[in-house]
Amino acid sequence: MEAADINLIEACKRGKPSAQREVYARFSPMMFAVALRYTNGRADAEDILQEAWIKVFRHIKSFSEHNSFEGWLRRIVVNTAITHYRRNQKHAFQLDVDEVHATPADLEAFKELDFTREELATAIAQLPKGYGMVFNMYVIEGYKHKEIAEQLGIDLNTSKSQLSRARKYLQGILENMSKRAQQA
Amino acid sequence: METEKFDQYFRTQFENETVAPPAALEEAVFDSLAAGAKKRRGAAAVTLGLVVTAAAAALWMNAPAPAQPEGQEPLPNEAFVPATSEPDTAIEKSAPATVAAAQVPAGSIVAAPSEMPAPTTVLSTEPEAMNEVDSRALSGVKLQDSAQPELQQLQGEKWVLPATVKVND
Repeated sequence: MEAADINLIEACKRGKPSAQREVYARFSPMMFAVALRYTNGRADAEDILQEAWIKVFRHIKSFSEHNSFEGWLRRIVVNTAITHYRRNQKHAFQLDVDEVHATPADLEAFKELDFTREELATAIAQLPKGYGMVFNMYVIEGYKHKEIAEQLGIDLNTSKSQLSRARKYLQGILENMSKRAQQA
Repeated sequence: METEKFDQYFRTQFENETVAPPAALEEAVFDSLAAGAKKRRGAAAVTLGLVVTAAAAALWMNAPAPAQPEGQEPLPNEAFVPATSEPDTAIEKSAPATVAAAQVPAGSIVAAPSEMPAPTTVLSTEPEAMNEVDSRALSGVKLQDSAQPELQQLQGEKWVLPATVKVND
């Protein structure tokens, strides 16, 4: 971490408003992108981002400069998204992900991937919620299955099986997207 | 395609991804922070006030008696006015050096500090003669000897009332 960044974080720890604004301006786009991947709508992502920033500034004193500040921020967004997901899970009809049939497509048959980031994001957004959470956490954020299981309150093997199903499900979605693009 | 390659493809695509949040969100975040800070400051001030009040009350209640100036005899008939007593009965001001420490029994009702007499206020009364207490025989218990037990001063302020009790089964 650069000295300027350390000074900026130190100023945030002292509660300096200009430093807080600067940190917000610099890292909000990254955090909002993460929040969007864990939700199906911008409104939810905005709620998550706001909640995450409040957590960041309230707990910034606990951040150690030996760690990655961006990594710390990402974890806060992901944790906030998980809390948001769990909160909404209580009120919404939840499809049991184990009852969703994975597409029979095999990753071995998938030779090339040529999609834009937006197309991939659209594909991830189409995953059943549980699959999407596990896929995002494991593949994009780099969490281990043990951490995912603890965070989501699921079994370790459930995390593994959901990831496997998510991959197959995604492949099916991407294949359909390719076919539609070729037909067009 | 191998699983790892598939994962890597996604990971690479989303690396350094940024999406600008709506501008209005920034104000919402900092308004929430300011409101939270104000609330916490208010709560902290109330807590501090309570702690200071409680500490002051505790100090006042447990304040040790001031040192007796040399050459001045303590007045034996001085005592604090109890919290429940009427403040206008036989109260007179005296030197703070002669104030004795008050002992408030547990569970007793203590008036609010504003209603309490000033620490320097003491009650001066004539010493009352102690009432003689007759010995009382317990039903079913016989006194061993008929002689009336008398208070015996052992040392200093310690007094003992000797008694022998025989318990019948």
